[in-house]
Amino acid sequence: MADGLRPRDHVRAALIAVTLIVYGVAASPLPKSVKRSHFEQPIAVEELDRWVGILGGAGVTVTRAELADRAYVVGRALADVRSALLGPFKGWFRVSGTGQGWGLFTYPDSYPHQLVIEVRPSEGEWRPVYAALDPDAPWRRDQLAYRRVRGVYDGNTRKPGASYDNFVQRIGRLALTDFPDAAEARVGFVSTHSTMPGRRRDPERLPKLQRTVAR
Amino acid sequence: MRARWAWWAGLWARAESPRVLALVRIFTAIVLLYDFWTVWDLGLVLTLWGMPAAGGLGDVMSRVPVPELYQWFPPTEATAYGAWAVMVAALVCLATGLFTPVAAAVALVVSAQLAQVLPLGDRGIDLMVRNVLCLLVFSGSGRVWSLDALLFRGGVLGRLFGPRDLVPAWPRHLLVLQVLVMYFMAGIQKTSVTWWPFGSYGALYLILQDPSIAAWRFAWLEKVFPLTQLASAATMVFELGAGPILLAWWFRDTRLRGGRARALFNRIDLHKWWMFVGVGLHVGIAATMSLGIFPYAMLSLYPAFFHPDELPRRMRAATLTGQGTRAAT
Repeated sequence: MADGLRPRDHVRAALIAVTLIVYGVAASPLPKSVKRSHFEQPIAVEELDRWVGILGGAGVTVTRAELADRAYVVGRALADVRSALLGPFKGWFRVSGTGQGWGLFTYPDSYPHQLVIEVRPSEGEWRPVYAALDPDAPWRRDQLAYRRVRGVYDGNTRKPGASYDNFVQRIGRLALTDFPDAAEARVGFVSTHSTMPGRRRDPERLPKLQRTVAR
Repeated sequence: MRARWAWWAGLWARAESPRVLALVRIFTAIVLLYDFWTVWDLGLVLTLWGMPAAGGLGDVMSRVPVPELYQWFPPTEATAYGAWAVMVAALVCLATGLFTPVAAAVALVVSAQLAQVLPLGDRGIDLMVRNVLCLLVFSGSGRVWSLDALLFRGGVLGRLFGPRDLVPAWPRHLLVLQVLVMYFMAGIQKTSVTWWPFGSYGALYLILQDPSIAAWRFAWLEKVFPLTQLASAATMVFELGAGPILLAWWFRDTRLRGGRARALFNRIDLHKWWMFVGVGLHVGIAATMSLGIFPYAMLSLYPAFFHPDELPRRMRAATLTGQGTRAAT
């Protein structure tokens, strides 16, 4: 060819152009889905309050509810755009498992959850055998802190699904096997509130999603 | 328009030595092998990818559609172990460079299936690594420093897998673009005020108070809060800095053209300083957070930022390929 390029060079260039467009859309900060309930999570409420304060300082008066409503409307529209653009490539993304769009701690969680696993003998007191980062409760730490396992229980702290039930059963049964004197095992979280240095501390430790497995 | 298209097509038609991507292949495969060995060592194969009846955490058979792994193979423990074993075998082949493109394709497909079996167990870095595996399928990274290059020197196998001095350069350029886009998008998605001055740059302090993420107890960080603020700010500069690095990459590629900005960027080798900060960031993550292979897998991609001609002389000079070749010394 006159430009020194072979036909396959043009085909390659076209395929790369399509790939860049598709993966570019996937990588863009368009949200995958937006629900009103997202704006009711404690971390979202705290974030909205901070923005209300910042906007107020800039002379823009808006309430938390108004800001959440506007964010929902805009976010929903953007999610629809993303869905329409990527819809034709859904099958490829599914089979290849490739894609884009992860934020690396987009929203640091100021309400973190600590996984806590306890056992007790019949008519006895609960005793923690595992608590994340607690050196006095190190049972099966390596397994429970392994990144893929952590993903399962971390992903269930807001809205527990079937995998949380499976996790509770699996871990509860393991605890009853490893502690023969235990009659019950309890799996759950303790939710805390991290505040910035200099701010008033929130000492509350709130038990959450506790489930009991009996022998 | 025709000239622009010719420029675009020519941009992706270049060839270069396969050595840099061979390094990426070897490092990435080793990191993944370590991860899958950890799964075995901790006795988590069935927990992660088995059926609930076998102790699996996923609700795989109630999902629509059921992952192909459990459509094509019976929902038994053997299938979960089999998938793990195929993945490990593919990674061993990838690391040693045996049937390299096939090994990368198999690892990609199996990893995608395992992600479908337990989506919550599939982390962002797994997604990133699958993007890399996808590029390695087409990369020619097995044409050097591989069993392919040693064993297959003629015939059909030689043409498909054998040694080459030059391979397409576009997979490396796409890999660099992938990494830059990933960092940059991570930066602009950080809309939490805690990543910004008006949120006191408190993001890293908060992250390190999360017992699921922190590798150690960091209650004492309160006393050195300014250091965490500095680290948060550095993270933002680094991630958003991936945008200008793309420009630096372009200036580097067109260094013979004129322009002050181009000359300045090329004089200070901006991307190397940026990479230096990136290495520090990932070493910091490895030291303070429990994120598994994330920092190591990311660092295994960093060689892609170097042109093969920038490799140390010893790695550049020796050749395994070409007519009358000799082994690397």
